[in-house]
Amino acid sequence: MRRFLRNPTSLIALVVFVLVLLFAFVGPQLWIYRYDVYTDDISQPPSLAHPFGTDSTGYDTMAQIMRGTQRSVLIALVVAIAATVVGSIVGAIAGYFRGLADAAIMRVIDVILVFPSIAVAAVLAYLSMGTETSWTTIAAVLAFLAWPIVARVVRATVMSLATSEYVLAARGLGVSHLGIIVRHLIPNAMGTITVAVTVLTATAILSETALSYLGFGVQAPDTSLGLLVSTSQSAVMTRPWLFYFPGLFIVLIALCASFIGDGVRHALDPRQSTRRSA
Amino acid sequence: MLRFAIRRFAIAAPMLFIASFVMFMMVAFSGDPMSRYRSMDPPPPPEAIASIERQLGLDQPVLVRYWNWLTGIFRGDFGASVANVDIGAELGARMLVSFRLIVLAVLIAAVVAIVVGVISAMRQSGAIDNVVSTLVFIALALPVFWVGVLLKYAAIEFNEAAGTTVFYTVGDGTSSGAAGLELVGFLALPTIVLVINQFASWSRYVRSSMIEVLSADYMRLARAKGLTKGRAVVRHGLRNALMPFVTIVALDFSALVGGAIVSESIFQWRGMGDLLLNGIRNLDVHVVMAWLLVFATATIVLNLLADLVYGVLDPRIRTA
Repeated sequence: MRRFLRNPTSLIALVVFVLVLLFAFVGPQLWIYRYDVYTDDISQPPSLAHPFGTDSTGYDTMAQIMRGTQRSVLIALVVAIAATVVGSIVGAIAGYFRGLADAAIMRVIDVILVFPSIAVAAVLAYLSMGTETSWTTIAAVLAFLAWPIVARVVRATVMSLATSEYVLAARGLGVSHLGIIVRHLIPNAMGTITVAVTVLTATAILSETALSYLGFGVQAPDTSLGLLVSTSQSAVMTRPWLFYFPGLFIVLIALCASFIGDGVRHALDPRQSTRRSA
Repeated sequence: MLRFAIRRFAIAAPMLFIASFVMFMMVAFSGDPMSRYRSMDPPPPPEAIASIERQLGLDQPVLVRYWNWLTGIFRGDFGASVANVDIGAELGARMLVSFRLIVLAVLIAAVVAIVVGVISAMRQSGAIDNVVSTLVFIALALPVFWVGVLLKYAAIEFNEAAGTTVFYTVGDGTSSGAAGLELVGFLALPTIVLVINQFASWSRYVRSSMIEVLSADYMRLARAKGLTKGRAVVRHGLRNALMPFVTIVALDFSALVGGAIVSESIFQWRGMGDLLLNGIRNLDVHVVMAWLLVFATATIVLNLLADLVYGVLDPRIRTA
């Protein structure tokens, strides 16, 4: 933890990410406009009353971005956490028991990874819900497509840990398989797992926004950063603020997530820290 | 080597079969292709719905449907489309458009990634590495669609300033009969979008495997026998550092296709992306399944190729 805090980029990224979270979850309570209530100002460029401007129907862009960020971040975090929990458990089981369980799990993973994930996500989201897709459906679909990646990484780590002396010692002392996985293997693979969470947060936010951009993600009247970019893309020339701000927020969130991940990686893996930026 | 190849192939072939089964079941159980007719106002008579169902074969049990669909494909019949098009012919035309884009983008992204990664690794922690790494992190965080739209409008302004259309921002050029060099104007923007989306993560891989290789004993030997640093890297380092890269390109195919779908949609190409998105919107099940099958096959074949290439490059793999 201390090594993580000594790395200035990761620290800044963490602070910015917390600020974004506050903006998205506390902001709407404090801000005077709501994302789904029209204001009297139509197509206003950014001003003091509307820091991010308003759109052609009078929605306040800042209120919309708060809501959009809230939805996008919520989906990304749920996807990252759910996929990591499932992926770690499955990966640990496969890597520890080997043999038949491992072979079966790996074949399932191979089959899921054979299809382009954004296509499967669009198919599943649309076929199951039509145009009434809720954010939970999208999160579930994206998590379903993301856990195999975590499982593969965790499996590899667990496989190398499973033959280490402390695991053999624990076996010798009569600790059950479950006990070994929960008490020894998963805590020791925590480095890999934490990195997976941050990497997944970044990719999940990009997949969700891409899906919403294509029209298969979050649906109006609710909004997400991808949907905001999608509805404003024809206004790039006339009302650029509608297009730039949501996009910048996506970049900001994804950037924070990958810098935090990089910091965690450096802090946990001494071999990689030949580059002493701190 | 032959035994290795046969063993790899024996794993790949059933994969495709299983993948097609899983996909068929997923699509069959996740939605009702008839819902469009059922929700019509005024509602069509039940006999009409039943007759369309019979025509599409939806009245049969799901396993029978899977069998008919699978055997149909071997005869070149992908099933009936709601939009009344020949799915096989449509796939062929659109695959040409999309794969042209994907192959070009992969080649450029790989070259850029290798150059960027190697330079970064050789100047590790130096000023160049820091600047490049920051740019790579930003590229990793850029959403494809946002970059695409930005480029599109930048190109429109560029065209206006230049007085002629240098970059085409709408269409893939097939309908206007562009060929040869004329296609470059159509291909340029979507390719750039895909390259930006892809080169960043690849250059990270190249950088870290190059760093590992640079400290290897055989590199020190190469320097000791008098090779300059540049020659040692090109002759001995690159080959070893790039081996894992072969697998990564195959593994990232899914992400590439995702990027291609989005960038085709921005520039309104009539490629595979448009085929899939319209197929989903129209609940055109057979189009969606044919599409997924094409890409599942492509992924499996690519992974097989990557395994074989890896086996050729690194003899140790064959016996593992």
